[in-house]
Amino acid sequence: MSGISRRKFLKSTVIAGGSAAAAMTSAKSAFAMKEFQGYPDSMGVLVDLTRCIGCRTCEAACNKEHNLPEPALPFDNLSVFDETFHEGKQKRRTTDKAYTVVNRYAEQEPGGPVYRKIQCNHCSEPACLTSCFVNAYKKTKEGAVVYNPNVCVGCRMCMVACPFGIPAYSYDSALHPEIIKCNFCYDTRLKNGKPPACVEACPQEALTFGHRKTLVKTAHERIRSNPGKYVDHVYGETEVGGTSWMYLSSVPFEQVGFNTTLQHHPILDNTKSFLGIVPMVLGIWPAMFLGFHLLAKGGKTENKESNAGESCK
Amino acid sequence: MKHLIKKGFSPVNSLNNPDNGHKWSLWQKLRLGLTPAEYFQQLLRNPFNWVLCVIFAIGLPIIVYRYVMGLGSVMHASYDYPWGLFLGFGLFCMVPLSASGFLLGTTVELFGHKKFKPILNLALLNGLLGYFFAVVYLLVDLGCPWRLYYPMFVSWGTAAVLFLVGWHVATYLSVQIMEVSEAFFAWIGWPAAKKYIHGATIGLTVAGIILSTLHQGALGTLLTYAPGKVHPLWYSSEFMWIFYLCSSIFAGLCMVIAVSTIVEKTMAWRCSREFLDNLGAITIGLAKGASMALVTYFVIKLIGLTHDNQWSYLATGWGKWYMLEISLGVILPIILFSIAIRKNSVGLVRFTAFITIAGLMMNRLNTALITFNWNLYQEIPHPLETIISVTIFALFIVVYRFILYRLPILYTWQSVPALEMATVPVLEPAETVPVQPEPHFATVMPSIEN
Amino acid sequence: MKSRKIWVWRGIVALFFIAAPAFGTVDEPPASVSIGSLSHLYSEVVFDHDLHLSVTDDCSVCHHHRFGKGVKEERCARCHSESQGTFSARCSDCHVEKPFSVEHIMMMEADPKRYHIDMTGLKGAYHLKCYNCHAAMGAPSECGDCHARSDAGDRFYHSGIYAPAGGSPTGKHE
Repeated sequence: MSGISRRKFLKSTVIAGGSAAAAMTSAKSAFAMKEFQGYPDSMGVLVDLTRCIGCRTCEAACNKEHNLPEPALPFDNLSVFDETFHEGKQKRRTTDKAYTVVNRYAEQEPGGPVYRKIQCNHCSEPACLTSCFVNAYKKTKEGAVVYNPNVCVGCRMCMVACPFGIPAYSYDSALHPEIIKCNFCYDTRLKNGKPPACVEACPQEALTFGHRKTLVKTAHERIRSNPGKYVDHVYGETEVGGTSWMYLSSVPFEQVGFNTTLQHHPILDNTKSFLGIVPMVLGIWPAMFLGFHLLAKGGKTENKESNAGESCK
Repeated sequence: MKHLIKKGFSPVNSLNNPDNGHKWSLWQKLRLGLTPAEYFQQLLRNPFNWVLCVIFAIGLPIIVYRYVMGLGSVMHASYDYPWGLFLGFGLFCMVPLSASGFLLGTTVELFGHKKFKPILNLALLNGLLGYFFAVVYLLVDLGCPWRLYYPMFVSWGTAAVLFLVGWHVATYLSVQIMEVSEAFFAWIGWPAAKKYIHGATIGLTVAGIILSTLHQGALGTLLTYAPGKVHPLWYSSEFMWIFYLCSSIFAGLCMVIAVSTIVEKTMAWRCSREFLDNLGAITIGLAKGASMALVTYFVIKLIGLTHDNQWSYLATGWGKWYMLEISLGVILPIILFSIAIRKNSVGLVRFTAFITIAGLMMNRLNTALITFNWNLYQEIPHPLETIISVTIFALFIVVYRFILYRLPILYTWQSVPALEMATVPVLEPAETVPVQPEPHFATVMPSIEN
Repeated sequence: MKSRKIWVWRGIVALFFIAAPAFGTVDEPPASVSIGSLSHLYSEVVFDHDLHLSVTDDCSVCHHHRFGKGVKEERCARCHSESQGTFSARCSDCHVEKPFSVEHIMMMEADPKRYHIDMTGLKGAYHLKCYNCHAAMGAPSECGDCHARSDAGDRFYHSGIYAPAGGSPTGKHE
């Protein structure tokens, strides 16, 4: 009886409890895995609108890096900021000839004008990727969302899904139409550990390149240490589940063309309630409807060759 | 055709020519038993064929132009409105209107309501052609249509709702081809194949329900990828699939009512007695089903509004447009259907069915096109895009009519008399007329006839 | 005699900076500085340090560190109020040329307690200082006011003789 000492007993409970706890933690981490938090070493860019002076050097650098077609106007021509489209409602946007564009906003504001560069924001859980039925998109571990034109069917679902309205399509090509969007300079730079061309070219360092998680800290630190300078929000930290490119602004984001009504969880989540019923329908319907069928027949011997249309009444 | 029927002509409806007991050749069957001259004359007599000719004369070259010059030549090439009429109309409207196949399949084959049997084949064909032409619209719209099979065989984007839509539409299309092929095998004269397919009816019908439930819903779920782009009144991340599924039920039923109306008015000569005699009762029966689905749809729409608390939007301009859609496309049909059912008025049911179809199309175009980008700007589809859409729809009508004229959809294939005449010496076991190769059949398909 | 000595000094300093395009490690400010880090697009910028010294009598207008006087900026002074003036006030001593290189990012992240995690690179430091002040003071603030663009620069911006047909030759800040 006294073979089990108190100490031994305690020890065994600790071990048992420990293994149970370990089991629980692994279950917990397995549960947590369902929430994809982005790749740990994902890179990102912090765009500080207070620094941007609208010189369009990033546009020029992007054009050169990717051998894009010649622009309609020189990149040092700033009259493009006055261009509007669709009855003045729209400013310039990314096209099949430009991965990135800068627009001018808040001209009348005291601190204005404010310039905003747009390009693919490289979401952590991109809607383009999750809506693509041929898996043409890939989120690399470096954080870039890259596109593979070789499997693209051209349904343009990604353009519908992108919450930022970024992907463009080369509609004019009959044989090789493809989605055209910023790829974070993945092939030419990012995978070799280099910052994208626009970041390197920016004279004002309005674009800060680094690990996304560090940039989030940097962004909040800039807000904290410059009281009154920034709107207290890092756009892209949580929007649509987080983006690799994030923004700081001195004027409210909606005044500089940002969509501030976006959800703060991945777009993919919207489809989950439906996707959840898919296996249920596949599993339940056959038995249920065959059951109905047998009930409806109600033991009657069905006349297989019954002529169509004897009205049942 | 009416002229010929008056003269005592009866179109092919069995394997053998009743005049001489010979088997009809494929060419004779394709000509409905008319001589080439007669056939050609009746083609020219129908003014509708001239309208179709004009549409094709304009539309077909534009379709060729689209493939040579790229999508940008016939669309606005908008990055903000990536989808235009081809998908907004061709996919989002054609698919719910083609729900008829699985609905009547379930009613007749699974629940055993033989009352609807005469219209079953029409409903199945309507489903098949609707899906087939949704795919045709897709082939025009896709940037690389030659890669249509990629999601099946090359690269799987399994997490995507569109992947589900693609697979289900493809498999459901094959299911429907098999369902309709029973009529085709009867017509072409392959009884063994017909029997084989008939044995699989229940399996095919259940497969049809599963696939339809999922992809009708999936079509609505596609738009949950674009929250904020679709106006909140037409958007619901939780209920989108059930809205689409439920509305496809009355849409499919009303489409059958509408098509059967057109058939009765324009090709009564092709319909069997029992089809024509029962059509009134069937129409009322379908209206009952449709009105139940409409009421359900209306209720869940209200639940959707309440769940997402979108009442305040009703006071806006979009809200008025929304209320117009609900009033015309849901409430008015509910009222009219209930009056028609009580008064047993087939005419009113048919009128209401057309209204309901218009309302459904309004809903689909609203979600996919009109309220899409409601906070950006409106875009009116390119003229050429509209012409192509009309042309493909005309093609849809031609193929529809071509099949209705020939296959035993509206009438019953007379196989019994053939057996009775088994004593006729001409009937040898090796009787099969050399079957024309498929390509011939295909080339005749789009031809215009009356 | 003394003035000649200063001139000699300045000459040496100037030569030194032409060779090394950065501010010098001296207790005497340079008269002018040649900056050529953007030489792939522009000719060197010759920064007239003396001129700027004459319009701002306090080094702290541009520099965090001051020779022997500690720091002035309030935010810096919280920690550095007791610090002695530094020997060097050269921008490039802290602001590196390649702030986004793997090495630099790793270096910045290596010490989790590091406070200065948000340091601009050299180009950023120059422009944020120079351009923002020029713009605020109404001093010349077009790119071309400081930078004479080279042929490669014209090609880069698709400007000058490389301007797209039909486009206007050059634009200006509005």
